[in-house]
Amino acid sequence: MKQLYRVLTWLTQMYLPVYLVTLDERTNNIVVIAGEETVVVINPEAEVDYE
Amino acid sequence: MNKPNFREMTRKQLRDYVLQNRGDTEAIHALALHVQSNGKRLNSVDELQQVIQEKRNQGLEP
Repeated sequence: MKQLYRVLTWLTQMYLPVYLVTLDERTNNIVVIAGEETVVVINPEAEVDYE
Repeated sequence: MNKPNFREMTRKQLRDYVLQNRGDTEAIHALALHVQSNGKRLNSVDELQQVIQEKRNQGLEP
């Protein structure tokens, strides 16, 4: 949850609009869709992937 | 309507599909897998600022 808070803080601080925050129910990964191209995934171990 | 084959979609196509079909758990799962397979693992969340800035420096819209 702390990682999600920090991801959302950074994204909005960088002027990227956040369009969707959702949960991949199969894996409990959090998926954040922001900006024009950005997708961020936070896994239950709090590791963060960006594409 | 038949569902698209998520495995054959690009990240952008998947992203757009999820935004249009927010309750489609299968598509959300496919998008997460795509990012984990093809994206960049950040050493810390603070690196997010750096990767976004790098993208902007390349003239891309993050």
